[in-house]
Amino acid sequence: MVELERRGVATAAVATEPFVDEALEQARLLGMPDYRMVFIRHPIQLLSDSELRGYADRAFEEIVDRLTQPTTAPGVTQPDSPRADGAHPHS
Amino acid sequence: MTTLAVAPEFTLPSVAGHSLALSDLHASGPALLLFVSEECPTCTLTLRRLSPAIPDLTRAGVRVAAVFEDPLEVAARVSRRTGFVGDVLSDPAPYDVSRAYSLQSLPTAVLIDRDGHEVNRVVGWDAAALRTLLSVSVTDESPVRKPGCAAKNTYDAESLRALDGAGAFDELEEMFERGWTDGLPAIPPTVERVDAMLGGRDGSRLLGEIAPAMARVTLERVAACSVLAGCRPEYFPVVIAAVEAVLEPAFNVGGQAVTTQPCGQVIVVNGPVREAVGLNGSVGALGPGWRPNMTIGRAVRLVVSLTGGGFPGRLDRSTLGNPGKLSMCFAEDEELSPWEPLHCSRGFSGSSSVVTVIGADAPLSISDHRSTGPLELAGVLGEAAAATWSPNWWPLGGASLFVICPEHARSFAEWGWSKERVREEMFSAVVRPAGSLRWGETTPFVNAAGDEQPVHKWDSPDDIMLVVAGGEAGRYSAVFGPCLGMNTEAISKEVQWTT
Amino acid sequence: MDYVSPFDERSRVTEPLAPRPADLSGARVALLDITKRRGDEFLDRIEELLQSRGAVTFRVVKEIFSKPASPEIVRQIADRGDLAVEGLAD
Repeated sequence: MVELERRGVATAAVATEPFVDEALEQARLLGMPDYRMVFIRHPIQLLSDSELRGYADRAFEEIVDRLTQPTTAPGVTQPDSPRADGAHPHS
Repeated sequence: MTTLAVAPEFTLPSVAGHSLALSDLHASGPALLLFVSEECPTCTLTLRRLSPAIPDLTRAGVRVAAVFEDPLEVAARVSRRTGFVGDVLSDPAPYDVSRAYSLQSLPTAVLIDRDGHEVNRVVGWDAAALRTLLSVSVTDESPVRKPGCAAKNTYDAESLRALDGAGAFDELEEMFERGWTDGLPAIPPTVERVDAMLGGRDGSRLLGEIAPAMARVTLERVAACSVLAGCRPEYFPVVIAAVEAVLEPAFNVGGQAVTTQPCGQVIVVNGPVREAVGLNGSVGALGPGWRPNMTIGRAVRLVVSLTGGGFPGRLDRSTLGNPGKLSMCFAEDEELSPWEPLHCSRGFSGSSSVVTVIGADAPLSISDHRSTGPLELAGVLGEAAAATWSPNWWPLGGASLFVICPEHARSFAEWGWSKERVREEMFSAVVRPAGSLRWGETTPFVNAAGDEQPVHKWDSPDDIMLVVAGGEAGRYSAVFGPCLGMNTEAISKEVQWTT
Repeated sequence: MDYVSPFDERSRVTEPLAPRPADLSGARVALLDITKRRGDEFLDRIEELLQSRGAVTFRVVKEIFSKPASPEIVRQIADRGDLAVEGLAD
C-alpha cells in the first residue's frame, strides 16, 4: 500500500485486528507514519455469509473515509504530534 | 466430576533435531502446548509474553512446547526472534495435529495433564485466562486481550496452495522494503550485531543533531548504520570520528544533504589507525575492493541519508548525484609521500589518527606521463582543475582536494619541491585575463573585473589541498570537484581508539 | 522487529500520502485481493457498495499474501486505478 501511495494511488487497507499494529508499524518504517488502516475485530473464517456481509457493510464507511478524506502534509514529524489513526483498536 | 478428553497423540519434528511425541512432553508432569503460526501477530505476542513465565512453569513441572503451523526452519526463526525457550515443534501443511485438536484460531494454549488429558484451553491472547490456567505471573501490559487469526487447518486446498512459500522471510529484502539501504544490499542491524559494533560503548551517547531531519545522532544509530554498511566493529572508531566531523556546524552537512549539487562527503584517514583497520591508500585507493574503505565511507553516508534524512530523490535533490555518494573513504599513503601528511598540515601530531571530511564531487583523473620539470607538472595538475565546477567559474570560492599519485609525488621530491611549493605553483599557473572568462557561468568577480585583470582559479594556495595516495606504478593523479556556496569547511577529528 | 533502526523516529522525514479525491463518483477503484480465505467474499460486498456510490471497479489478485505486492501488480493498479482497497488480512 505504501508503494501505491507513492505512485499517487490513495489506498484503504483492511485487516483484522491482530494485523493492524504490525501494518501500521510497517507503514511507519517505510516512511508513511500517518498511514491509517481499517480494522475488523474478529477473524472472518467462521462467519456466516450474512454476518460477513454485515462486517463489510460496517467497514465500508471507514473505507470511504480513508479514500476521500484529506491527508496531512508531508514533512518532518515532530514529537507529540497526534497519531492520525484515532480509531486504534487499543485506544 | 467432569471427564476430561484424552488429548490426541502426535509425534512432530523438533528444532532440537529429534522428534517429540505428546507422551514425551507429559511424561513427568503437565504439558502446555502453544499452537502458533508465524503470520499471526497475536501468536508472536503470546510467545514473547509467555517466555518470561517458562522458568516458573518448568519449576512447577510443566513442559512448554510451541507447535507451529509452519515449516521447522520458520518455527526456529520465530522462536529465536521472540526469545521463546521451550520446545519448538513443527506441524506444517496439511496441519494434521492442528485439525486433530479442532483448532479454529491461533494462538491456542492447551494444558495437558500428566495422564494425557486436556485440562483446558485458552484461545487468543488473554492474560487473565492464561494466569488462571497456568497459575503463573503473566504481564498486564496492554492489550490484556487480543484475538488471533484463523488456524491454517481451516483453510481450503486452494488457499493452502497460496500459502506455499509464503512463510519465507528474506531479511535482506526486508532491508530494501524498509528503505534502510542506498540501493545496495545492507546487513540487517540486529540487536546482537549493533551491540557487537558498539563494543561496550554507551549507545545512548548523543553526538549531535543532524540536518535536515534534525534527528538525534546517538552512538547506537551510528552503530546501526555501520552494521548496515557492512563495517567490522574494528572500524567503528573511524566512523565515529567521521560522523563527529560531519556534525560540526562549520561542515554544514544540512546544506550538502539537500542541494542540487553533486557533492557527497569524502573521508581521508591519516595515522596508525589506517594499518590497524586495513584502510587502503595505495593501488586503487579511490575505487572499490577494500572493505574498510567501502564500508566506512558507506556508514557515514547512511548516517547522512537515512538518519539525517538526506536521501536521494527525497530531500536530497542532487541533480545527478555522484558515485562518491555511495562511499568515498581512503587512506593517505604517508609512507610513500615525500611530504608531511594531511593531518600534520592541519595541526595534528604525526602519531595521532585523524579523519578529515570534505564536501566534494567525484574525482577527475589527471594523466601526466610527459612533464619533465616541476613547473610543467604543477601546471598540468592545476590546469586540470581549471574547468571544475564550470569552465569559467573563477575563482572557485571553495577548496579543491587533489590526490597526487606516488610517482608524481616522487618526481616533485626529486626536483626538490615541498608540498607548499607545489601548491603555490599550482595556484600561480592557473591564471587568465578576466575578459577571456566572460561567457557562460561567470563569477561576480569576473564580471566586475577589467578585461586584462588576471584571475586565478583559486582565491589562494590555501584552497588547494594535497594528499598522496595511489599505486606505485602509473602517473595518474586526480582532483575532486568542489562543493560551493554553502560556507562549508573541511573538518578534521581525532580517532578515539586503542591499539 | 528486533532490528535497531538507523532513524530517530521522533524526527523522521516522512513521505506524503497520495492525494484524495473529494468523492467516489467516477473514481476507478482497484480491489486488491490478497487471497486470504473468504477475503474475496468480503471484497465482493465492498465492490457492490463502491459501485452504488458511482465508482468504477476492477479486481486484482495478489497470489502470495505475506509478501508486498510485486512491481507488476503495483504498476497494474497504478495504470488503471485512482484508488485501491486492499484486503482482507485475517
